[in-house]
Amino acid sequence: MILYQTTFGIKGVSNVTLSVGDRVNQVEQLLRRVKQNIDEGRVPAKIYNDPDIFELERERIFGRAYIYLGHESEIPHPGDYMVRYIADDNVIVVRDEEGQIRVLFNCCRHRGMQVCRAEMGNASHFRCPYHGWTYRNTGELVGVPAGKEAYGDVLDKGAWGLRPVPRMEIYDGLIFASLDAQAPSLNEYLGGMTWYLDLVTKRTEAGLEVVGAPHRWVMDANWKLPADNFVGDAYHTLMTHRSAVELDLAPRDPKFAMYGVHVHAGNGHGLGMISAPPGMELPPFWGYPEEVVRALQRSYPRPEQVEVARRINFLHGTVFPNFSVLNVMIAKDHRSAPTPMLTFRVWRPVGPDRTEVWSWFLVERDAPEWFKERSYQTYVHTFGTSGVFEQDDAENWRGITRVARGLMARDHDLNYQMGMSFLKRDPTWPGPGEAYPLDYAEANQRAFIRQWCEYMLNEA
Amino acid sequence: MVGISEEVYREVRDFLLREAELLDNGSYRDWLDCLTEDIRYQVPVRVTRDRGVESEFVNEMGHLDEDYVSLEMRVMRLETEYAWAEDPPSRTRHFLSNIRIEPGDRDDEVRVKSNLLLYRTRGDDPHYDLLSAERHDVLRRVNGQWKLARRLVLLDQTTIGTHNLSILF
Amino acid sequence: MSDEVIEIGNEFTFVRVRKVHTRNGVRLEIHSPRLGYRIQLDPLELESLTWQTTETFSRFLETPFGPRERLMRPLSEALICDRREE
Ligand code: FES
Ligand SMILES: [Fe+2]
Repeated sequence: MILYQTTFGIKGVSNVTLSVGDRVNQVEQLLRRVKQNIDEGRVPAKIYNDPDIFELERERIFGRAYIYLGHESEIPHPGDYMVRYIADDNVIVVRDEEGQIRVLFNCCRHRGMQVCRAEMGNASHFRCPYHGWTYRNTGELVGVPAGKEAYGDVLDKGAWGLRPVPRMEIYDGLIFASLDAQAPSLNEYLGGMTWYLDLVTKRTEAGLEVVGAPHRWVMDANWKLPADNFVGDAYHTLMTHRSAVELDLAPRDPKFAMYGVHVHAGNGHGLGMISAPPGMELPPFWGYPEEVVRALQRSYPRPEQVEVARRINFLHGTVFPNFSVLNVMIAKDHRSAPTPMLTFRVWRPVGPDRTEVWSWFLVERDAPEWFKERSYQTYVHTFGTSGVFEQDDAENWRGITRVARGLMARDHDLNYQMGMSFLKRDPTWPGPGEAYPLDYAEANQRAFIRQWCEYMLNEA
Repeated sequence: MVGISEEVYREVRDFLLREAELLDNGSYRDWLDCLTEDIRYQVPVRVTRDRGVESEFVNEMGHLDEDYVSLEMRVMRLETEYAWAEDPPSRTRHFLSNIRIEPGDRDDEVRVKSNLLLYRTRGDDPHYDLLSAERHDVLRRVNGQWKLARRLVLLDQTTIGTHNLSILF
Repeated sequence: MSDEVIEIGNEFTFVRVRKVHTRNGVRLEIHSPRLGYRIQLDPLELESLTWQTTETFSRFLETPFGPRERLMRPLSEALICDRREE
C-alpha cells in the first residue's frame, strides 16, 4: 500500500487490498495489453491516471529518456544559470566562466541542501546556505568553512563537487539531459526528428532567442495528454478550437488542420505540417517576414527543407517523451492578420493527474523588431497560460484525467485507429520518417504509445 | 501632495467593487464598458530572484498582455458556443482589499492599488484554486464616469496554480 | 568626500562598492557588510585583477567566510558600525 498525493493535496490510499506483488502484476498486465492492442488502435484509458503507472514512468521514462531543459539563449553570459527539472530532479543549468554549459544536480554534497534557490541568476561560485560549502560554477568544490579544523587533511575536495547529470547534450541551442549514463547520443536519440527541428531552429543565421522567461503553470491533467496532442492531433482543432475559427484567428475552414503531412520521425517523435486548405491562399513559409524567408533559403542545411517549409503554415510536434513544439500562423485578435509564432513546451510530470507546464516563446534574434513584438502578442493571446486556444486544450486534458482515475478505465479502450490501414504512406516525401499525406491521422500517437511501452517494459 | 477627497475615494471604491461584480457574474460585455479604449492590461510573468534584483517581474513576458481589442476578442470568444474552458463557467469570487489611491499623472486620473484574492472553482470538484495579487490600476474620468485605463496585476506565484487563465483579474 | 555607493549582489551574497577619494588620489572600496570586511584597491591593483582567472577567486574562496572565518555579523551590528564609520 502506498499513500500518494492527489491533485489538491488530499492524501489518497491506492489499492489498499492489493499486495505490492499484485500491483506490480497488474501494471505489467496493463502494459502488455497496451503493447498488444496498440496495433489494433486500442489504448486503455487507465494509462492516463494511475499512481502505479506513474511511479514506473518516473523510473523508466524520466530516468532514461532525454529531457529538454532549456535554450542556450536563456543563459547567454558566463555565470548565467537557471534552475530546471527532470521530473522530480532539480538541476542547475549554468554557463561556466569558459562558456561551457553544464547541468549539475542542485543538491549540496555535504548535507544535501538545495544550492540555488532563485529560479535564475548569475554567479561564478555557488555558496550553500546551510554550512557554506562553496562550489565553482563548473561544480568543483573549492571552499569549505573551517575546513582545516573540521576535516583536517582528509577531505578530498576533488571528489565532492556538485554532481553533473549523467548525460547532457545540446542540439542547435536546445539543451537536453538524461539521467541514464548508458543513454545513446542525443543525435541518435533524436534521429530523423533533427531534420524537422531544423525547420524551426535554423531559419536565420543568428537563430532563436527565448523572450523573457517561460510561463509556468500547473494543470490537473496527465502529462501524456498534451504530448499526444502535440505529436499528432490535428483533428481536435475542428472542435476544441472552433471558437478561434469563428473569430477568424485561424482559417475559416474548421477542417483546416486536416490538409497537412503527418510524420512519425522515429523513436516516438512525431509532427504534423499543415498547409493552406484547398481553395484558400495562405502565405508561404508560415507568413514569416521577407527577411526571415530570405535567410532560411540560405540557412537550411538542405534544399528539400526549403521546399517543405514553403508549404507550412502550421507545425506541431513532440520529441518523446515530453518536449513539444508549436509553430503556427494565427491572428492575435479578430481584427488582425495572422502572424507566425513559435512556442516550446515541457510537460513536466508531477503526479499521475498533475502536470507542470513550461511554455516558452521564441523568435529569431535577427528578425525585425516590429515582427518580434507582433509575434509575441500573438503568442500571449492564443497560447501560454491565458491563450484562447490553450485554455480549451487544458479543459479537455483535465477532463480525460479525471475520468481515467477509476476502475472502469482499466479495460476501457480508447480509439487510436484514425488513418489505420487505409491511409497510405507518401513514398515521395523528401524528409525522414514515415509520412502520411493527411494530418487527420493517429500514426504518430500510436508510435508514441509504442515507444512509451518499450521504455515502460524496459525494452528500449 | 494633493489629497484624494472622500468623495473620490468612495467613487473609486464603488467602481472597483462593481467591476469585480461584473466579472464574477460573467457580465463581460458590461465589463468592457468599464474600460477606456486605450487600456493596457498586463499580468507579467514572475520569476524567483534574490533580494538584490530590483524586481521579480519580467517586463518582456506576460501571462496576459492586452489592449482593448484583445480583451474584446476574449469576451467575444466566451460568447461563441465553443469556449469549453468556461462552459460550464468557472465560479469566481474577486475579494478586494487594501485599496490605496493617489493622484494620477493627469488631472482626470487616479492611481489605485488594491489587493486581490481570486477564488476559482469548477464543476463538482470541491477543491478550488486561489490566486493572490496586487493590482496597480489607473482610473480615468470619462464623461463623468470612471473607467479603467491601465491594470498591472502583480501575481504572488511564479508557477501559476490554476490550469489556465480563462478568467480575468 | 565619497561617490555614490553601488550595491551588487546575487542569491549568495552582496557587497557595496564605491569610489573613495584620498587627499591625493582615488581608490575603489569593496565592502562586505555581512562579513565586515573591506578593501580599498588602487588602479594598479584593480588592473591586475583583469588578468586573473576564476582559479584565483576559487582560491580566495577556499575559506568562504574570509580568512578569520568569524561568524557573519548580525545585520544590526553591521548597520551600527557602518553608520559610525561614515
Ligand atoms: S548542506 Fe551544503 S554546506 Fe552543509
Ligand atoms: Fe490545441
